[in-house]
Amino acid sequence: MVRGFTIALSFLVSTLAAGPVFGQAASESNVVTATVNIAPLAKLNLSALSLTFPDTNPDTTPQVAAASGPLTITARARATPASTVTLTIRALDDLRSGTDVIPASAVSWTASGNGFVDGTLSAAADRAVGSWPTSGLHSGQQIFLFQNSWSWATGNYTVTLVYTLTAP
Amino acid sequence: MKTLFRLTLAAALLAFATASASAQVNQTLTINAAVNARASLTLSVASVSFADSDPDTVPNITASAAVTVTAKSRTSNGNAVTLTVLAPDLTEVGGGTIAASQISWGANGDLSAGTLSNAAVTLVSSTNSGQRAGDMTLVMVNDWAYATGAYSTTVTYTLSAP
Repeated sequence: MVRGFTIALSFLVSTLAAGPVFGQAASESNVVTATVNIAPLAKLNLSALSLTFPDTNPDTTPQVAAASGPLTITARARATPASTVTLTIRALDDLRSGTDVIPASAVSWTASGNGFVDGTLSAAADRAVGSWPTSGLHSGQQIFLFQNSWSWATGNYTVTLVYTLTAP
Repeated sequence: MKTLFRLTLAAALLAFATASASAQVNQTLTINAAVNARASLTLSVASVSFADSDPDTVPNITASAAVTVTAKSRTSNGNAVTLTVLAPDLTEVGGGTIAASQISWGANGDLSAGTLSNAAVTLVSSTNSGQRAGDMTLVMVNDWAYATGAYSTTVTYTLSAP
């Protein structure tokens, strides 16, 4: 009983303190603003760290496929609205074996997967691998091909490629 | 109130800065390509023949077909590439012989003209990997001194790309 009186008194006091004249309707509204910050984010995963083209006869195999098969690419990106997520590739150099050189353009690829495109390597410029108009997970495959030629000097050639995923 | 305004402004600036920054990530992939030493030699025909002719009217008999030679090789940079031919003398079942040197050839493309010999004669002398090709037109000296018979010899082509 004492507790019930106390609660009723508290309600009365708070109602009076709120300002309206006794007998008028009282109302009050308030808002809570919820803010979520989603910043641009990019993650890139390749199914292999290296590819190897085996030695083959240029007459029977003019285009050599990588021994390990297709390279699977998984690109996750959050981008700002109306921007384009891009994935590019660039060779850091031509293929080299000591002083012998095979131009990076001897390596090309065919692509599968939504947004992925075919292309040819370059050591001078970025080449498009894929582009997407929205955020999301984009997965595809590249099948690399090495142009086999009788003109190449013998050797074990190497080059490093850099993939760059940009979410503006 | 002033503090609240400052906090609000700071939060707004932070939000703007975060929203305007782009994200970028790199991954590397190493490519290896093996290019080993190889040699490939192709002749357009497996045999040629010289028709019997009157030595007075046809002192030099042209072979039935030109031989197109295609030599492909991969080698280390700077290494020599050579293509040679050699043949034993022409022989017939009765024991008669015609010297291999009675056959010579004109050439075009990357090939040099020459005369057959029991020793290797250079047809191509070059360096580095690549493809060399040309046509050989074989001609045999027609001589009254030959004993009659059906003569033959085997010409061996050797492509070397160390």
